[in-house]
Amino acid sequence: MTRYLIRQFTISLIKLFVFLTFMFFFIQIVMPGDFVDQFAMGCDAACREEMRVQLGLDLPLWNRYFHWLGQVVRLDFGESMFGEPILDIFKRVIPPTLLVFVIGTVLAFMIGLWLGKVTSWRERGIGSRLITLGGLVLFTSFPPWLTYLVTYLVTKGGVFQVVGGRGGLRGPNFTGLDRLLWQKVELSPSEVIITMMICVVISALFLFLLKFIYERLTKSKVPTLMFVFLIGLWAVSGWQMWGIDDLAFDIMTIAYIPMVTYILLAFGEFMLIMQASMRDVKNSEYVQIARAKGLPESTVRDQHAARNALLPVLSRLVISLPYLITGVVIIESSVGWPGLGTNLWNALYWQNMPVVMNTLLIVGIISLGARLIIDVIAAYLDPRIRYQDFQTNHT
Amino acid sequence: MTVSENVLDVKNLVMHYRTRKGPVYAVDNVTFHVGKGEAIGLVGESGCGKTSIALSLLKLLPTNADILNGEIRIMGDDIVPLPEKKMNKRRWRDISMVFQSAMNSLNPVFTVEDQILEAMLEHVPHLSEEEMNEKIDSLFDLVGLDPSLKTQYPHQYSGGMRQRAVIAMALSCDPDLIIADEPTTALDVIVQDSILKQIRDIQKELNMAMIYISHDIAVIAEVSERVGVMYAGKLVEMSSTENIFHNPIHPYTMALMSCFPSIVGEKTELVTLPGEPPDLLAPPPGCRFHPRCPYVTEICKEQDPDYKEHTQGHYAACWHPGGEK
Amino acid sequence: MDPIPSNHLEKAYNYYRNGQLSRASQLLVELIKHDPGHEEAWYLLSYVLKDLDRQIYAVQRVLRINPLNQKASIRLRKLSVLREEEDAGETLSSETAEGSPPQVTRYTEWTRDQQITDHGFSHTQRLKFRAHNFWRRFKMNWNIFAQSRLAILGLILVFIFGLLTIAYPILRNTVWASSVYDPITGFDMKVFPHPVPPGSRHLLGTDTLGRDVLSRLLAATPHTFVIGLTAAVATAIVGTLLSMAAAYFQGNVDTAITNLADVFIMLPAPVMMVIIGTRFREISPFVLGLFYGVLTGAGGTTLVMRAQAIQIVSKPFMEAAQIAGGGGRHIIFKHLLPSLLPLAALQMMVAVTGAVVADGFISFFGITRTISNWGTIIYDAFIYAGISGTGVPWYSLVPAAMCFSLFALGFYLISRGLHRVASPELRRR
Ligand SMILES: Nc1ncnc2c1ncn2[C@@H]1O[C@H](COP(=O)(O)OP(=O)(O)OP(=O)(O)O)[C@@H](O)[C@H]1O
Ligand SMILES: [Mg+2]
Repeated sequence: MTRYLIRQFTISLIKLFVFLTFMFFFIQIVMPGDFVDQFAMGCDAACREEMRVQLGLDLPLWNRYFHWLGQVVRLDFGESMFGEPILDIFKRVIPPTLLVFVIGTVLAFMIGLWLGKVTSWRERGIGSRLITLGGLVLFTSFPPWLTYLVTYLVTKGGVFQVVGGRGGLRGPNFTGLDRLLWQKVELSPSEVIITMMICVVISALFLFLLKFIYERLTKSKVPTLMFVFLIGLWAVSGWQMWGIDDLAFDIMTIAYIPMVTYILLAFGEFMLIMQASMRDVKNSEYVQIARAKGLPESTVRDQHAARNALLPVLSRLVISLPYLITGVVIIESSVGWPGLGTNLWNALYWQNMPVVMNTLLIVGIISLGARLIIDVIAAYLDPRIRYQDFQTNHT
Repeated sequence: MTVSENVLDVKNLVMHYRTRKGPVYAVDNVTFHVGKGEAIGLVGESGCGKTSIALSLLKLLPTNADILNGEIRIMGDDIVPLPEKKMNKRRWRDISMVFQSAMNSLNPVFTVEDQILEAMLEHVPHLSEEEMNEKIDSLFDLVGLDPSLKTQYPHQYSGGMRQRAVIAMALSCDPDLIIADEPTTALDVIVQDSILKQIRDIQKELNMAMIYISHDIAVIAEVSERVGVMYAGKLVEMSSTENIFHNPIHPYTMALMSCFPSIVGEKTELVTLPGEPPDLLAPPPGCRFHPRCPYVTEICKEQDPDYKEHTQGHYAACWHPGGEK
Repeated sequence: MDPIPSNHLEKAYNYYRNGQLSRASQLLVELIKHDPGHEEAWYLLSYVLKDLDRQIYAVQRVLRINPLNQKASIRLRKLSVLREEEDAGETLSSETAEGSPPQVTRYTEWTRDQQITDHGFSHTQRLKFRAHNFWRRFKMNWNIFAQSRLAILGLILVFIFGLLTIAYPILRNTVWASSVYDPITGFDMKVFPHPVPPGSRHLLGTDTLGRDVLSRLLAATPHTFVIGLTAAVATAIVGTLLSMAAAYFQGNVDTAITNLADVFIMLPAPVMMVIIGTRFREISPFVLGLFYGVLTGAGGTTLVMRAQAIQIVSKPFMEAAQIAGGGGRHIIFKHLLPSLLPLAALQMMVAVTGAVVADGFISFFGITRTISNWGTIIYDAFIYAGISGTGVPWYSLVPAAMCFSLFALGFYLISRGLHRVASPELRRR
């Protein structure tokens, strides 16, 4: 298993490298002008040349490419063309994105699976049809419009700011936070978000372990809803323990808009895939047998049908990941959430190549990491994958 | 009727599938019974409704199917009006079933042991863990599998092993009746034979009632004491295996027998009857067999013959039993 | 007629291998009853039947359906040799040696005929056979597709959008005055203040700048329609070709294609479109759609479809098809392609949604200079509402937003219908 994962990981790294190389040349060849053209509008030609020499933009493309490559190998992100170290930028923008992306994806996935399972089990009911239609409409809706709708609904007619647009892109920041509250503390919002995420992840892992042990011992099931609720409860008490609960809640008051939008946008796809998968599994022989065994309907559905239907959905998730990430990027830039996506748009706009390339690198690494996690989950759920590997390891 | 000596009594069972083109009467007015420890066989062409009967007995029909009429009495109690919850208590405990497709009958994500245990936990929860384990081991022995294999996953089994495991699973709650719906068709010939023998031996040994469904009369003859012949959703004849083979009454049975050289002979081609089985959406009026029947007369085209006892224990539905005019 | 499970041929083949000929023939007859032009069923039947004459008849049927089936013509030749021998045997026993000469000529005549069957077909004849077969299959599948009312609804939806693409130029040249109904500069001076709610003069109302919403939507439809359709077709074609190649050649080709797809999948289509859009600001919707379609086609679509294609190729069903007279091309086009098409349709739906949204998005942010598409309508509604402070311009927002969803919904419903065509288990319901 581990060997398989390591092999997968190396292959993925090579693919990532190919991808980044391609993007490096593609962007610089296709996009007109360069950073200096965008930034130094008012300068004359000599001044521009000087700037180019300073920034190294006068060197040939190959040269810059190897320079960048050398930096990546040394794990040195370098500096943005504005002079700020990219690592600092990332420290600021990655946590907000992770908050939306990780929690949003997990929730959207769970909601989508659950709805897909339930609706496909009673396919002909009016409720199922409505839910399917609703998921479809959300999934196919135009993200800026959806963000607007969510903002409108939750703020009861509050204003929606179009960020960027033809008037140029605006710098991202956390508008809407309680200034007074943040003045009192040393922490930046991103640091708080990191702590928040750590609390959530730790409590989730710990509770999973507990759940596993509990279920093994008592041979009974913990209701999923209760489990999710428990994780939430633990996470919140974790925030309290760190003493960041005020700040965390303040962040949540603005974070939930991109999060809810993202969930609404993403769950429909999972639901539809799950439905299709369930439809295939539902008529299978082993589900019939499970029924014949006189097991309760919910056991047949959840243990026998859904467990198997989940496997193709997981492999689809791998494929949808990049789309999900771009979805986050689109939503972020629609609401001005100061994350990786908004940052990427800005950098693209300025042709701030170091930032663009390193952002793509980070996005690639995030999706590789997510992929690895999915692979592990799939192997855990499907003995065919687990054992196939086991065999190849030993021969 | 209070406590009956029969495990199963089916009376005038009518079941149809609702389809876009209209109802398909897959089980039409079928009556039969299965005594304690008795093995009966159901034989008929593809699509004549054998599986539909089996599924009706367990009330496992798809959502587009309805039982319209009739009684299904298991140990004397009618299960047709039983709500799903109560029915679940009786499934597997009273009637269990082995399905046709060996390759797909086991859930790929659970170990074989877990899948058997699951049924036992549901129906015989009073057993201790050890007793259950012992039971599973003995079942594995019974069906000819090594008990140490029980913790493996289905994909690690061959097709034959899987079907054996399914049989073990079907026996796990000591059912009164086991339905085997073409349990060997998906397997290759050699495995087919050995599993068939095993099923017969187990049935004898445990003295358990069994309904064996097959399209292959040779197989039926090998395992069952009584045979029912189905044609287009109807049970056309039922009697002891002897009678069916040597004194068939219904012309369809006769045709089946004449195609069949000998019980032990090699499998040869069935000289197919002229014509084809009817479309169940629009069955012919009168006796459903009449378009293909050599003895057909006017009455056959107009009236459906009653299913009645002709000689002791020999039931048939035909206007010209034995071909008489 | 009752639906026939897709695996009948497979089952029949298994029975045939196990020597259960009667069972096999039952299934095949059922299949043929359902679809009298089922080439493989007839071919397999020629092995399953016992009687030589019937076998010959079955092979002849195969050749009547597809005169280009090489295996069948070879088999027919073999069978007819057997037939000759049998006849010769009979005549020998009954009449001594006299009957042989005419039979030899009959045989040679026969082989000559066969050669004609093999090579003598003109191009047009071949095409005619192909067309005929195609039409027959198409009709059959259409019937299944049409059973689902929702699928028809989807078709109608997409068709309506297709009609709407030509509606604007027509209306503009007939009933709509350009000063009022121009999507950019139109202004209706007769009503005040803008925006006005839907009414008889403006079916969907006007926007903050006094432009008629319906005319703007209609004017924007061709752009979106072209992008969506191009992206959908491109993704389906690229995905299908690559996945078929992967499944057919397997081995290195498969590995190469999968890895390539893995790289492509990392290319975030909207980002790529931003890059392209900044360079070619006047890019045509066709090129943009094509770009999006190829990107997703070589990435996600290929990955999804390859998995399915590999599964199909490894099915025993393929083995059955192979003994039933299939060469490589035959297998690809008659088995692999039809089973992949519904999946391609589903991917098309995803691509339509993605492409339309991405296009709307980049014009929403003013990257391409698309003057009117549904995205810019929404954008304008936001911007001008903010500027003029007239509250939420629902009249221009909702129709444009609905267009996105309805357009994609149409494709989704179609793909559901196609899914039924491909998986017969679902048809019963
Ligand atoms: N879910 C369903 N919906 C509609 N019709 C069905 C359904 N299931 C079966 N049928 C029809 O009912 C009839 C009886 O089917 P059944 O499966 O009981 O036949 P069978 O005797 O078991 O055939 P086989 O030997 O092929 O297994 C067939 O004509 C079949 O087409
Ligand atoms: Mg059956």
